[in-house]
Formats: sequence, C-alpha cells, structure tokens
Amino acid sequence: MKKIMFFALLVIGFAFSQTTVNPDISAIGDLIIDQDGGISSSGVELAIQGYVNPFARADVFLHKHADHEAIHLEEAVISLERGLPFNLGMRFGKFRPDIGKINKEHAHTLFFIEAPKSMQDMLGDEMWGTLGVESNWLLPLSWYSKLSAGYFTKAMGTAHSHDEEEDPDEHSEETATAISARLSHFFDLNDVTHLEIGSGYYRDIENSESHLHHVFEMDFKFKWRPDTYRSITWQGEIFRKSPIDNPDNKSKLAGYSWMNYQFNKRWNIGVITDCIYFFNIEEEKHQSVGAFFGFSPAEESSVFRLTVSQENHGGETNLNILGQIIWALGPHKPHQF
Amino acid sequence: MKKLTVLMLLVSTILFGKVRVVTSITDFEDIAKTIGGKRITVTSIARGNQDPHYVEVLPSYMMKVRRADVYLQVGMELDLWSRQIIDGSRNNKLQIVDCSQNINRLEVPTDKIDASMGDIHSKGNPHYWLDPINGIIIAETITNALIEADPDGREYFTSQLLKFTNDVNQLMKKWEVEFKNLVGKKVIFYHNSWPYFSERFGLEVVQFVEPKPGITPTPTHLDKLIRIIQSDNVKVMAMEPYFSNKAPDFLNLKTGVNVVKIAQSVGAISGVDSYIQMFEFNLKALTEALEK
Repeated sequence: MKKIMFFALLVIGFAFSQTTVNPDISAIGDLIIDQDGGISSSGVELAIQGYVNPFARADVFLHKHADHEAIHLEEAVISLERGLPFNLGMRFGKFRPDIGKINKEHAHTLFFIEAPKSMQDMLGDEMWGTLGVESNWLLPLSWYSKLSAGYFTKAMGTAHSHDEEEDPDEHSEETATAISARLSHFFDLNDVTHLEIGSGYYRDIENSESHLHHVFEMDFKFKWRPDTYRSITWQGEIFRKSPIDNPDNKSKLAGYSWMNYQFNKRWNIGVITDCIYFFNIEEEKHQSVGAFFGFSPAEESSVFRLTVSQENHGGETNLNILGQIIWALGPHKPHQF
Repeated sequence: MKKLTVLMLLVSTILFGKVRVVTSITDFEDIAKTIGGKRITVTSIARGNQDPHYVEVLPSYMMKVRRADVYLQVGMELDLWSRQIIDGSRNNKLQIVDCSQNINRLEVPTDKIDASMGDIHSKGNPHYWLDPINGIIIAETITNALIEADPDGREYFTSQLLKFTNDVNQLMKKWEVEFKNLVGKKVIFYHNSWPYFSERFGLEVVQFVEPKPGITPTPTHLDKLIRIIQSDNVKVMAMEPYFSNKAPDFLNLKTGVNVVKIAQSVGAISGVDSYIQMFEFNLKALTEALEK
C-alpha cells in the first residue's frame, strides 16, 4: 500500500507541479440500506483532477472503504489527449483499461447501485483497474471510431482486497501481465438518437496465481434523447472467458443488459438483467432480473437510488432490495457526463 | 486534363478552403455565419432547444471539432463540457476562443461561493449573449479569430462586422422606442439567465422560479412566489422552453400570472432562426404578455 500511495503522490506531484492553478478536488460518499435494515457504505471516493499542460490531464481517485480498511488507490493516470501525432492518444499509470463499457464507469455514475454480478465476476469486484500503458487511435473515418490497445500488470478479474495486510495490487504487479484491445464505433442515427458498438479482446501473458485465459467481449449502447431532460438508454455487453493453457478449465459467458428511462430532470426508472453461464456446469449458472429507480433533487450533488432484484444462483433464489443515498462535493458528480 | 485540374482545384477550394468553425451555442453560430459568410463553414454543438449548462459529451461532437480551425466557447464556466469535446477531438491546431473575454460581466461573486448557493458561476453570470450590444463585442471577438485563421479574409470579415454592428445599433434604437413600455415592468424569470437582457431593456427582475440557480422549485418557494406576485402585482413569468411547465402552470393557476416562453438561444423556439430574430421574438412576447 505504501508503494501505491507513493506512486499516487508521484503522479500528483508530476501532474500539478507545472502549474500554480489548483486542480479540481471532489469527494463522493454514500449510504446503503438493505431490506433487513442493515446500513453500510461503499466508502468515500476522493478525486483530484486537472490539466498538467495544454495537452495532458491527470486524474487521481482514492477510495476509503471503511474505518478499518486501508485507502485504496483506484486510479492515478496521465492522459495525453492532444499533442500526439496521427490522432493518437495515450494513458499511463493506474487506470481502468478500455475494455467493454462498464469497466470505465465508476459505480456512482451507474443508474443502479452495484455493477452487475456478471461484470464483477469477469472484471473483478471493483472492475479491472491496473498499472499499465494504453494507446488509442482515432481512425480516419467519417464517423467516430477508436482503436485502443494496452499492456497491463494485473490480470482481469482479480479481486480487490481492502485489508491493510494484503494488497493484491502490489502482489499482482510481480506476477501477472496482460494485453487488451478494443475497437469501438459511435454513430449518430439522427440528431437525438445515437448508437455505440464495440468489441474487445483480452489475453493473459503470464499469471503465476492462475491459469492463463483470454476473453472476447462485445458491447453496445443505444440512446434516444429528444431533449435535455428526457432519454431512453439501452446498454449491454457480453464477455466470453476461455482458458489458454488448461483445457480442463471450462469457458464461461457473462453478460448484462439494462434500459433506463429518464422522464424528467430529477427522475429515472429502468430494468436490468444479468447472467453468468459456465459451459457444461449447469448448477453454477447465475441469473438475475431487477428494476431500479433514481431521484436527484439538486444538480446531481445528491442522488437517491433503489434497486430491487431477483437472483437465481445454482437453483437458489434470493430477493434483494437495496437503497442508496449518494452525496457529492465538488465537480466530480454521480452522473455520466 | 487542364480542365480536370482546374475543376479539382475549384472543388478543393470550395470544400477545404473555408475556415471551419465550431461553436458551443447556436447564437455564436449565427453571428459567425454573419461575419464569415461564404468564407467559413460553421456548426454548433448545443441545439437551440437544449439547456446549455447540460450538454452530454458525444463522440460525434469530437468528430465535428476534429477538423475544425476555430472553436468558439461561451466561457465563464457555462460550457465546461466543451473542454472534453476539444480534448477528445485530438485537434492540436484548433484555435480556442473564449467569447466572454471582452464582455462587461454581471453578477461576478465578490465573496467565497459554494454549492449551497446553487449553480453559481465564479466568473459571473454567463448568459451575456442575451444583450444585443454584447452581440457586437462577441462579433468583434469572432472577427479577430477568423482573421487569424484566414488573414486573406480580413477585409471581408471587417466589412461584415461593420455591417452587423450598424444593423444591431439601428435595431437597438428601434427597439428602445417600440418596446419602451417594458421599462420598469416587473418580471419573474424561471432561471437567472436574463440579467444582461433585463438590464439592456429596463425590466425589473423580482424573483426566479428556481429558489437558487439550477435548483428545482420547492413548495415553500412557490408559496413565497404566489405572495410576491400578488403583493407586487407581477404580470409576467418568463421561462426558457426546456424547463418543466409544472411550476409555472401552478403559479398561473393560483395567481393568473401570464406565463410566456422566450428564446434563450437561436432555434430555442420555432421561427427564431437568427440572433436578431431572437430579440424581436422575446421583446414582442414579453410585451404581449404584459398587455394581456
């Protein structure tokens, strides 16, 4: 953990030492209530963001989960957006690689409370964040088309530990390397309707703790937004993970799809379905369907969310009801743009 | 062969010889079109019927900026979303122009501001294009940007600026006479977008439907507005078309105040197709609502 914190301080120092202007500092916290009346929190996220120079920006996200847990470095990344030739961009540091849609979305920007189980299973309980370098290229086409590829030091799907004693980030730095790539396209179907489609590939190069895998993914997002405060959004993605070096390991398929209807400035409602399917192991199958709604009374700086879901895991069925209150201080707010 | 070469040169001049301008809002698009004429192509990111505070950053907007020469920003923290679009465009040669640079800013906070005050902009109220005289200042800024991008067009751009300035000055004289009845009239606006407009045309802004900028009206605030409308004899409540009718309709039901939708940008309301038309439409709409 000390090593990670040192790295974060290094990034912050490098990023902001060339300017006398303060970066944006934000905090986001929440409170979660379950159907049994249990109260918990996913912690507080601290974001420090700003421009390093006219061509690059730095984003640092620190996450404190609970009192007894260590501060976790979620991201500390420098992004070169403008300045590189041939429409190239580059990110380096610790960040969430460009694979699928949901991997880059922080939990508080989702319309529901937790990322789908299928994605937690594939990408990790807090999605796939790793040290690495990633470059991307805007293809010279008439529509927006981006190809990204990166080299990383942590395997996809590694669980996070919030324990002071054990830090998987440090551990996995020494034991795993991986590559991933994604091609995405964005189309304006008309002035108010947009479609984004993407497909990606991930491959373990080495992993001393687990067998090697490779993953294919496909994703889409459709949005109809007739005016500022009304929209229908439909998003989904599917991942297939297969073993490379051990044929006894079974492949698995995981995917989700959700649809959200924002019917005025403050209210939204939606449905979600989620599935994990292990080839040839029927009892391991996980399925869930659910509904969610959200209410943001003031400028997205506070949001109330409710999620009701029916889960079926290996034949066992559970009903989950979760309520969440999110608050935000500063410019990094719980919305997607 | 010669004919083909000449034709290709002509086509490439028509297609690629123009200065490509992208603007944050449609008002700048219209002013740039007036100044740049056929020497430029111009497109706006936000549509006129959109709330310019909230524009979702779409990759297709980055494509618009990717090949642009000039980007015209509102600045003053209104179109913060434009930075993300510009970054995503990868356009290193883009001339980014903040059109607020020479504006005499109103409502600049002198004290520490925070979110308890609502959506306050630390550099002042950013809706400065709603004063036609500021339109001239914006046009001057745009002219300088276009001259930098296309020095050969200096004469043309300058003559267009002169024409625009004369048109606006003449219209101002006409409007001051035609709409003199607006001076001193009490108006409630939905959002605090209109200080520049009100100051120019002499309106007295009594209150806002939003209790604080960007905050949806509460029952307590609506109750307060009912009392103000009745005690101050406020005849008109004006709103941008993208806000919900719910609270204004409620106020109309309770007090009889005339609710009127006015255009905060070119294209906000059908028929408002130019910067000049926007003022004519708004002034007429307010006058009619006051005379009802």
